[in-house]
Amino acid sequence: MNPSNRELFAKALLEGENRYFAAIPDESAIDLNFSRKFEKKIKRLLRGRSSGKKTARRPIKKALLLAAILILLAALSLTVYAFRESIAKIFLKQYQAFTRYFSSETLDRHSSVEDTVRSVRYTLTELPDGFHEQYRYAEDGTVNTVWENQSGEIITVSQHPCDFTFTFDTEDADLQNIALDRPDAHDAYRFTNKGTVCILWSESVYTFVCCFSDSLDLDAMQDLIEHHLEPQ
Amino acid sequence: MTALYLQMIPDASDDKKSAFEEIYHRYKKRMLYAANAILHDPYESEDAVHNALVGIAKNIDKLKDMSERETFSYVMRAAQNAALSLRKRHREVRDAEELPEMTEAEFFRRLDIRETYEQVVQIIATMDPLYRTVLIYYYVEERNTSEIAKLMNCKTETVKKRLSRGRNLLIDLLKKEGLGL
Repeated sequence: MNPSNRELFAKALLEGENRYFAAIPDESAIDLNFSRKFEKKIKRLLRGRSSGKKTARRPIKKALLLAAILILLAALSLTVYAFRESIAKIFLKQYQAFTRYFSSETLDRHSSVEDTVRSVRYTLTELPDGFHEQYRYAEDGTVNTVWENQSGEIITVSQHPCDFTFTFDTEDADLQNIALDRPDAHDAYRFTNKGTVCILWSESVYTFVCCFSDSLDLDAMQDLIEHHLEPQ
Repeated sequence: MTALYLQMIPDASDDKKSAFEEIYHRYKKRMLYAANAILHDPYESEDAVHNALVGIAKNIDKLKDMSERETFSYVMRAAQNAALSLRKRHREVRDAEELPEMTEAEFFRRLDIRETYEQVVQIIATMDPLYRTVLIYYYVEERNTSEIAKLMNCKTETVKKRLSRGRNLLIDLLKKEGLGL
């Protein structure tokens, strides 16, 4: 192989790519837009305030922050197509570095369902000793709640009342299909990643993600999810 | 949204935060455009931009010494890559998959880059980003196939096949333009 040919080929590659990118219109000329939900979140967060209740009792610890990020990442990678009346078929697709959990159906918006769904907010009605609510975010039927104890252990519950695509970082995670003892729960999975256990499942018109510190008792936490996660 | 990504930057200084915000505001629509050119689905494209931004936030340090042109390329490559990762297998281009694989030695033996430079540039500009990206990671950024596999969220063996097919596709397209190779 002639090294100079290789160098010249590299130069051609870069020039070809630049030519392709140069053909992309300027920002102002692009007629594509992010969804209203995506834009709303951007605007609100850029302004540095949230429309939901936020009750930090003391400076947020790193573990809590990580948990909140995990939940919010899930929420932000949500793609809202429409609310649904019937249970959608769920698919789980694993890639090398992440996993997608998604509905295959294209569904129509039904305003009557939307109103009902928005009004229902699930929460844990029992918690392990010492846990207190530290953070709550609620908007358009999406509810993210974080509880923490004095040791810095955390529990989070995220509720999403719509069709969706979740993308999870599961590169080093052990992802398992599990059975969850809740009426109507289906397509339940559990994975552990970076010191956090997450359980996700679909149920009726909702998808839930519950994450907690892996130092907490797994069976006790699953029991809480199964029997003490209820509408407020 | 930006605030969220910024929290992913460990010990982020104000400079890093500003750098990320500037990238976000300057390129977000072009990222969406590039992703949509691959996915043809606005919702999936939004997912791709999200995934690309997460990657950019994690690697914001790498961008500090880049020129504007390099930053633009880096950001757009990230958006393309994220879109390619989401593109379903059945929607991938098939044109190159029909071609046999081609070793690097055979490729450079057949490619007279000095004579066909302009045509090669034009083919690269219009070829499927799946092959363009893998060729750029390998020949321009000089990454090994394991690194590329991680970046492109696929197996090392898949990277090797894409490299080989990308090379063969280029030769095939040059032949179709009447350039005897």
